[in-house]
Amino acid sequence: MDTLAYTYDIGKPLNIKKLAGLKYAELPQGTEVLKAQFGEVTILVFPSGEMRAFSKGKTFEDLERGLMPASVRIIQLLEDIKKSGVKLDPTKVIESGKRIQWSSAAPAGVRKTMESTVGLDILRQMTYAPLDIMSEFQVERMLVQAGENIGRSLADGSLKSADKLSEAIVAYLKANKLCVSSFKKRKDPSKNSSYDQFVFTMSESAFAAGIPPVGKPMCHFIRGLIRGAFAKFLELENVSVKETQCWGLGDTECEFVMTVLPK
Amino acid sequence: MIGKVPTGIDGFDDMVKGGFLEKRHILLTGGPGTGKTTFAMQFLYNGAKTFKEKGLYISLEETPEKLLSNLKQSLKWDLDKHIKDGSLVIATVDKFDWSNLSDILQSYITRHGVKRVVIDPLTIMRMNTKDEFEFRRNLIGLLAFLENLDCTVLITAELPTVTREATTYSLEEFIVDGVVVLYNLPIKNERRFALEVLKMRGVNHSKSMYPFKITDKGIVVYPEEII
Repeated sequence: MDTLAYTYDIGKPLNIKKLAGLKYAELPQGTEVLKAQFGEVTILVFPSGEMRAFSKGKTFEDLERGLMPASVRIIQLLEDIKKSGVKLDPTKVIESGKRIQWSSAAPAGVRKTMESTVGLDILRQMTYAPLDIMSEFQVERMLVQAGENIGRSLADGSLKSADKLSEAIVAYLKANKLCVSSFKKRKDPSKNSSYDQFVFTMSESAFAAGIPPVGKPMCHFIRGLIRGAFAKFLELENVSVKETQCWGLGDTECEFVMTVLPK
Repeated sequence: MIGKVPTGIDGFDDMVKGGFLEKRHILLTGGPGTGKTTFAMQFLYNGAKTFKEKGLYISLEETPEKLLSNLKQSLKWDLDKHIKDGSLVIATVDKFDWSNLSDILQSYITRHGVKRVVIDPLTIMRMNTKDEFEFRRNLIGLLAFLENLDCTVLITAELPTVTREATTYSLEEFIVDGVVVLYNLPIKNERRFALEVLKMRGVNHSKSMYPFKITDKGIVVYPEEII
């Protein structure tokens, strides 16, 4: 069954501890998130004034039609929050609800005591275990999407040149222990593009170092990261990044070539 | 209830009871010069102009400039307006590569809200794949991937034969959700364009072959006549 998740924005900071007295809500120990459970519907209320509702096994159409118990529960909770002194309009909060975009719904800064890096074995499992149950195509697409999301966030408008962007990519990869890398710029040998090519060389890829040769490149996340960064920076989608060397191809280093395709 | 994606092509949407089913993949096939590119671009152009749905045309054979130039020669469409406002995008993949194609599709669909996609033509994908097994595996993977995204896909393919009786079927016709075939048939002393819907899963489509013309407004189908 799918779990449907909706996000609602109350729009003002809340003192979660004050709301902890609500009769069907609990404040989990050690956190500042208020949790209300109504049967199979879970609602989390954050101090920032954001709420998330989760419900299993209902269709998107059900939610939209407002037949879902979640909508009724949220209104109930909002009325109680209002009674506790917070001024808000429950109707407006419900209208603002939208389906969670998962790729942007998981900020890393929520964790306060744990370090931000995770073990290589976990990363390798998350990269390769899906291949046991999904098609290679789907897994590649998933990893490219994740990499592109990160890459696009690197091209945040403060970087003034493709060289600076490339430096930022190299720095990010190093800081997150994904690989040791360098880049060089060259003219597009095919002369099809007025843009330079950027070639990234990487060793100790967290994704591929040490894997057996399987006849294809395997660093899809990094490929997506480079592509996303350049696509955002150049404001073009006709950006191609090919992994021309990889442990998966029998090499002992990875190489990525970024080319802007002719329009 | 599955929604419909009208093509806006006069006479055609009635053949498929209002349009293609959304999020499906349709093969548009026919011999050379039968109007596949015009049909495909009209699907996107009408999508942008009339139905306010963004479209992406991936041209694997012609450059976008040449494609646009050829269309502008014969059609009175305001393509430039929709290209400028981003509701119609024409892209290419230099030296065809499945990953490159998938990257561009994924970006435009998930980040730019594209709802209608044309990939033209399938032949280039086949020619640039090592062997038939890899082609089939990649095509099935691509179509399954696209099915999860919120868009309707039209893929063109070249038919080696041009008569209804001599049509041969290939793998792609079995795995897609719909097949539309375009013909340029010798009838008496002239040639006439005609089309038929060979397959459209989930739709009680018309089984007849109808004539069509390519006018300066695009393809017009004449469902009141039968060939």
